Amino acid sequence: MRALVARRLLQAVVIVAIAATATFLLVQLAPGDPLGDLVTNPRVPAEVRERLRERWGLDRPVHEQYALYVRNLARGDLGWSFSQSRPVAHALVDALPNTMLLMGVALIGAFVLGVATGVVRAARRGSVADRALGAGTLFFYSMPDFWLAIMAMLVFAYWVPIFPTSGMTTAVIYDYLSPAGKLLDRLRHLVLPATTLVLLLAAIIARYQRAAFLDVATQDFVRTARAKGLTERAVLWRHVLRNALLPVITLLGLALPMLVGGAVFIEHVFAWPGMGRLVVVAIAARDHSLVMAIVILGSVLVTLGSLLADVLYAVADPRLRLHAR
Amino acid sequence: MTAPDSRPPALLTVRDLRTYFRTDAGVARAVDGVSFDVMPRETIGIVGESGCGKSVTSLSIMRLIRPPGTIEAGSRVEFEGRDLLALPEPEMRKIRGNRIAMIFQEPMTSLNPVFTVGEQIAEVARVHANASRKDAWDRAVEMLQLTGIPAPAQRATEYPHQLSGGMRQRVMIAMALVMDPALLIADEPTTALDVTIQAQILELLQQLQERFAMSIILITHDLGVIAEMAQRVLVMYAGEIVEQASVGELFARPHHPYTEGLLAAMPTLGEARSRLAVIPGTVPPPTRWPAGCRFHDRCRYAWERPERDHPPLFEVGPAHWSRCFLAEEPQRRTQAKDASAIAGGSA
Amino acid sequence: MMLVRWALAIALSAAVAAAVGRLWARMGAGGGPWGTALARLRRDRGGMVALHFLLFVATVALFARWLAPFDPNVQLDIINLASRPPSVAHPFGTDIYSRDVLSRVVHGTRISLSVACLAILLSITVGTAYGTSAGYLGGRADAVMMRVIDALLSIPRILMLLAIFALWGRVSLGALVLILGLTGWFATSRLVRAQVLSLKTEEMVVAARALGARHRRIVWRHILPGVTSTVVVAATLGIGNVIILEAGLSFLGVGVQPPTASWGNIISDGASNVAGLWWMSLFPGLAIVLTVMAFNIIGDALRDALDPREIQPA
Repeated sequence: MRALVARRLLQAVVIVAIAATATFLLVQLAPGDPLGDLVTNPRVPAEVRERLRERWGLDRPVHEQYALYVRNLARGDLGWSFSQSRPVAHALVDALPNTMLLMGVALIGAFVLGVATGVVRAARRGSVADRALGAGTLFFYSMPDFWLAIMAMLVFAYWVPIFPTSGMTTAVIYDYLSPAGKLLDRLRHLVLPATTLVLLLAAIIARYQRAAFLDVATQDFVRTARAKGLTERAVLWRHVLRNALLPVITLLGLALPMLVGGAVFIEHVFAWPGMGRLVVVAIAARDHSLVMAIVILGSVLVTLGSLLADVLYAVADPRLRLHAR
Repeated sequence: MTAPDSRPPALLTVRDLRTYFRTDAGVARAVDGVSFDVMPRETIGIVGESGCGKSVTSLSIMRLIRPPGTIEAGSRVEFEGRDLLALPEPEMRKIRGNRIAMIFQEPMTSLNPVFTVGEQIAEVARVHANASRKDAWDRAVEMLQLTGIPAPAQRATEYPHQLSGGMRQRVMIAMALVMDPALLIADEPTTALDVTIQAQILELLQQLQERFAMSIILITHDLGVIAEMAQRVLVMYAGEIVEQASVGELFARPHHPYTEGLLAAMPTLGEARSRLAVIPGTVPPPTRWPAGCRFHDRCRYAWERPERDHPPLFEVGPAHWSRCFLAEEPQRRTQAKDASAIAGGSA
Repeated sequence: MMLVRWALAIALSAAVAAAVGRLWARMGAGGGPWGTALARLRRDRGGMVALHFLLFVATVALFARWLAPFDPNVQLDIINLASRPPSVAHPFGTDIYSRDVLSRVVHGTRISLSVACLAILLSITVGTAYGTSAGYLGGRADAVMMRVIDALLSIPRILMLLAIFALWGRVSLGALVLILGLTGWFATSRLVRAQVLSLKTEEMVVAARALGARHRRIVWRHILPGVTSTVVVAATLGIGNVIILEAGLSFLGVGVQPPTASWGNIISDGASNVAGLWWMSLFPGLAIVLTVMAFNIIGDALRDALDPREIQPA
């Protein structure tokens, strides 16, 4: 097991290194100045500009810049955000927990809903329930994230105003709330963005889960379980599901890129102060170092996610568990 | 149709069992009017090529047929005096794995890969005897010991993929016998195993049959296994029983041309493989059984009558039935032999 | 007058759908994996409804100029007609500049659909070439090529796109197609490679090689036909993804640039006032969802019919 984790960690490092290099090359290839708006801003004195260039090594040859970039990355120095007027790392540290909260809630909700939907569909294959859930799954699967967010906001924040439209807390009032009131306020703000993400991700998971479940349900050991005199429920929920959950673990690795993408749009629509919103703001400001840092962080998240999925898989599947020992 | 005599009290009585699968390609009559009895402590063999309906017969007895398959109305399966096909599903579940148990051909895929073998055996005791977790586990270890697995307590904690093929089949047997069933259905129990292991498993089954005083339905395509294990044989072809007799009678005086073919195809020690007689052609698809005798297009004796009429089972000897018009026109057999001898001679 | 034109468009798309159905039936009679797949597709009611709908959308895209009641970019009457909810004259309402939203959605269909189709064409071409090369070459080259794909797949596509737009700023339609196409082939190449690896060992190819066939000939005659079904399914399922992606980018203001209408930027125009301009989000959004759904239904049906294994969208 330890060998497996070590091997996968090494692979992850290589992947992230390639991704970071690709990002660096992208910046080099791009037109315009990495200093972004500061170059065109007439109020910034030329002298300051030169000092910044020197400070960030922008006046040196490409390979030296690359070496510097790698060294800084390795030290966790992500550069200076011109639009935020503070180190990139500080901006990320503020935004990351908010995104993690949203993504964490969405991930758990989506897996529960998606697996349940997929299993119900597979267990009642061909029934009205299967077809209705299938149509619903396809509907959400075919939907742009931002549009579902807008529709949710339209219906549940404007037409039937039971949830707030944006932010994580109610401005001003929040400070005067009791601790319980504060928690409630945060939860109310979480409902719409999280539900939107849950529905979108659950649709993807349900599609996979149904296929995985049907695949397992035709295997010989299911017949053995029936021949033992188990109830249909025990056969499906114990024998089939335990096996059908294995491929879903792999989905964890696939779900993360989708979650990151969804977070960008949903945070933007609901003004949720996370990384997704930060990146949209950074693009508008052409704040290259901030954008690049978020891209690299995103790929680190995704790589860690797939690593975690592999390890979980090995824990859940006795065949791999013993191999990995 | 002449139904076989039932010397009461039979443990299992199957009458006119028909299991059809309604598919896009038409209705597949996988089992089409099968009747037989199983006596207490008896081993009955069912032989036939793959696709003849022997496995579907056994799954029908267990009522494990999945859609689109259905057991047709009018079929009857009586076990210990109860009509299994009329039982509500919860009652039927109390019989499965308890009074009737089953083992399958592929011990690798027939065991759940994510549970230990101990858990899988113990599950039977948990379900049928309401045993506590501990009692069920102890019972599982005891069963593993009975099936001759060394270090059973250790093996119980292992997963199927850690065991050899023969060991896995022993686990399947242990799982089947937890509740001391009256009837064990063994569906090709040794086909996937290599020859030495086959012999061990068959011997184990014989020992355990003695010990548990149970009946066995042994399904196989291997007449050698039948000769070693069974007292009576049913030969199935195209969803029907075509011949039924005691083992001695069947091997000494096969009546149905299909049985003749199977016996001729049986390899005997020291015989070169090239001399194996093979029945020409293949089993037709179950959606399109031939009219008349279902075997006529592969039969060396076929004449107009079996092409037109469907033969019933004829009593051709003591407790010996055959679904062939040769029972009424035995001269055709010798004529055909003479003809082929002449043809062979002139060639 | 407008109604007659729309009726004609519906009739035309129905006629084309019927003709396609007949063609499929004829090909189905021919047998083979594609024939059986098409015959099955024709019997699939959901698939046929989806096909009808897509042909209708394609007709709208093709004849946008005749079907749009107004010029999509003309401000009709900024004083009296701005931000009007749906009415008989303007079934999808008007935007803050008094432009007719239906006309913008109709013209947006043309843009969104052609961007998506061209981008997916580019994606599958590059992906097939890369995947075939990796799979056919094998060995070290294959290992390196696939590790690169792993890395590229580890960057969420939306972040990669946003990074590109952050660096390059607003881009032309051609560049948008290029960028969408060149960021969408990684998964396809992996899929194609797997298929090529299994084809490579098949007797046909082995025999061809033994007979001394040239590499180019083996690839064109034996390998590429074997990956067609995989690629077609991936492309069909992938179009939906690209439509959604383009809409998202246009929504964020970095995709299709105003005043050119695309489904995404119409929604973006209304997003500043979601409650007051709900028709600007609702109708283009429905256009996206229904079109993407239709592509996914056909993609699913094709996958079921052609290949039981999972094919992921491009």
